[in-house]
Amino acid sequence: MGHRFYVLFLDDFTNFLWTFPIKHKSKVFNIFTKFHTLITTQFNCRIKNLQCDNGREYDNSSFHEFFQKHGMTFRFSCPHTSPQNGKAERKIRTINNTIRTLLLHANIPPSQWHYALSMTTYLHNILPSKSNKFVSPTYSLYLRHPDYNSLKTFGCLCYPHLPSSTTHKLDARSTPCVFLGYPSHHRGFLCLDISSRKIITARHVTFNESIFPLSHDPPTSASSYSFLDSDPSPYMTHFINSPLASNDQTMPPPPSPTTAPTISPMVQQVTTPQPTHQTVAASPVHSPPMRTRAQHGVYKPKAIFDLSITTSVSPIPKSPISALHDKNWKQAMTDEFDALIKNKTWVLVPRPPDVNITRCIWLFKHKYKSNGDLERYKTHLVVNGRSQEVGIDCDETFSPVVKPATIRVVLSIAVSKNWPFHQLDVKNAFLHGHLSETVYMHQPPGFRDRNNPDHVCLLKKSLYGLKQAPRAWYQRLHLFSPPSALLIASPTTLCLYILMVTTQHIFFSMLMISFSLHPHTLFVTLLLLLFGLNSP
Amino acid sequence: MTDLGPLNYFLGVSAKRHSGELFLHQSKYAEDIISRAKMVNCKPALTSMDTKSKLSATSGEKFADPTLYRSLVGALQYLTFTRPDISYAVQQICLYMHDPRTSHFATLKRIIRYIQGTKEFGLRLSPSTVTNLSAYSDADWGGCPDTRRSTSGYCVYLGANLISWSAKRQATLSPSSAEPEYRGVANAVAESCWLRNLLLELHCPISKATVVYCDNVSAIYHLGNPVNHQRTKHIEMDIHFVREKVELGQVHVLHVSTRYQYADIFTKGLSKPLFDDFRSSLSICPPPASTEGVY
Repeated sequence: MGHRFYVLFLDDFTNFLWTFPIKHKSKVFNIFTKFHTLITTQFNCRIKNLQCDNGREYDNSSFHEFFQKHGMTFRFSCPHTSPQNGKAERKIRTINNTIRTLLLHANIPPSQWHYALSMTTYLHNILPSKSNKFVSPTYSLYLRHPDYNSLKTFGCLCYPHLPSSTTHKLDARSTPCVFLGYPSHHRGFLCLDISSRKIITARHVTFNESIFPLSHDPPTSASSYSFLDSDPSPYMTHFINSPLASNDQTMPPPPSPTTAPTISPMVQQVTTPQPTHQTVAASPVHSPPMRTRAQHGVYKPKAIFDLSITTSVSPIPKSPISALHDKNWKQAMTDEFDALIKNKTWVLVPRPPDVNITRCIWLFKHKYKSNGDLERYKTHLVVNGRSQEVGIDCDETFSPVVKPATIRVVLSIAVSKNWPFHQLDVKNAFLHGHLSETVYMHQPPGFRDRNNPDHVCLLKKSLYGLKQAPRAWYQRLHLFSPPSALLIASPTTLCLYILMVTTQHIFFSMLMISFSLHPHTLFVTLLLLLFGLNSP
Repeated sequence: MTDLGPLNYFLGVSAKRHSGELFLHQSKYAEDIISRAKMVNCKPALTSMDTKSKLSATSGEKFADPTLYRSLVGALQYLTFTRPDISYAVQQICLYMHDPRTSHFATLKRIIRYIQGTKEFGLRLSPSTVTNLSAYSDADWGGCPDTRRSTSGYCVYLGANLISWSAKRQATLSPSSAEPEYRGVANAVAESCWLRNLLLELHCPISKATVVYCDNVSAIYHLGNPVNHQRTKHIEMDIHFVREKVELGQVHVLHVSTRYQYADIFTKGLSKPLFDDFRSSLSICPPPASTEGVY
């Protein structure tokens, strides 16, 4: 139900036609993959080439990937040059003419056009044509003449034999119906019950091909076709509620499904179906008046014009330049830049000749709260360590880390002596490291100094990304000697520091863990001198 | 600098205090590993490794995604911070990081299945006297099918708390079965020497001798009796520092039957009853019943 378009696939050699009604053009790829499987299974051959129009429903990444995967070649017609896809485009005209004729002759409601499409496809495939040396496409494909005995007039009166399961044994064993074509998966006839508006699939049907029951209804007006342009539901629901109509792929009835098709080798080689598609509503006779969304009362606020609306999350920018055009990211970058300047991370100097200048990169990240909401936009200026050269702007890079056994020993003692633990965290620890090497860095992209655009940054403190950054941080802590207290770096164990305050000890090990023994205020004050404590 | 208050989460390790005890676990990290391996719904395994012979470098096809293998092995290595029960299994799969095979990956998946069943487990540190160090040392002989080198393992306890352990393939080949044991004891003694020094610096000096438990009588005999036996001539002299320690009385080497040799868990795959027993001896346990509100 609700089909508004159809897609057709035409075999270039045999002229055999497959049509599929679809609701949206986006379904074309889905249909095509199924069609590809159908061809592969039924005819044991591959689709080699595809000619189609230049529509976006074909020229998209899904199709391109599919073609590449299966080694198929494809050719689009040039824009506004439908003659390049002439065979399929001409076929659409034939199909539309036939559908129109079938519907008008039997006065079938337009919403049932997909039955007419199915019938049209069937008729096309069994009709001999002059261009095809007076053989039918069915014969060309299956090398067997189609069976014309079951051919009946579309929309005529018919009486299907109903099963004996009717409510009363003396009830009529049939009911007047309208013939709507051939079901795809049965050998029989599709009949529309005129009174109950149900679709009946039956094998034993008596036809009266001179009477068209629906022709007593008021004739179809042009506006009846407007559902093809607008929401189809009001037209679809009142008419019938058919179990078959929900079937999206109305396959053309196989001419004789009982015998397995045999194909000559010649056909296998050249089976190259050509698809195209067509919006059925394009008939000039019944073209409906154009209706805009506004006429239907559909309004959507246009956020693009309202500069105050920032409901959406700014995406991760691809470059710092594009980030500067987004006010959220620009703010975050400015904050980071100001923090670095405040930290006296570098001084601007004229570019010395013959030095290695390292590059720096802006990193962008969304920080989320635990409930999934955006917390803040996080930017980070990091040095590209790969642009450093050993011996020039980096030397030793080894940085000791604490041994797990050390942590366990300290914890074990503390537990045994029932000492409290306290944990501190140095924010952006690596930024506190002092650099002993001379490192030059380009000015950060987007924050070039206006007065000195050609200057470079001489780094005073370490930055994330530098090869020696972990070592610089370790050295900073290692060489730290607090005033009026005795801080001992353990000689046997790296990253363990013991603070002696009269008779009490405070241990802390690096990696931003600390274990304090006594009122930690003392310890916090100590580190406060060094790094500045943010929270109480 | 931020004050994070009492210790509760550091380096991916969660620390919970419960009636004097400290419980360290990495359940969140374990869950991350399981989801990284895309094994969220896998069935748990009872032990970390089967009891069959050790892995070989050339068993099975080459594994298609070595990067995934290395990343998962690295993650499991960090998980051993609080999980000594998987150290042996992780040590085994680490040997083949350079050229992982499908059988190695199957072993890795077995470890992850074991983790799946024991995500919440962690290391318990309980209050105890900190006056004695004891170590268990064990080795298998020529276990590695490719090099015929031995795997040795040890664990060191401070009081009742497990603080250090190792599972390692020895660097040299041993012609006698006593030698890897001897070498294993030397490793354990070396570690306990460092720990003694560390404890001295932390003002908790250990006055008693370190007790090393070993299940090889021959090795114990060699340690106690400084004669250069005909069959041990080839053992490098640097290993014999252990004898000196024994002579000085800093180290006692005692025999323990294999049934109570906890270090067995670092040298071979064990059956479930033994594995469970040794695991609880390593103070690896499920979290204490109520951790909320008790501090």
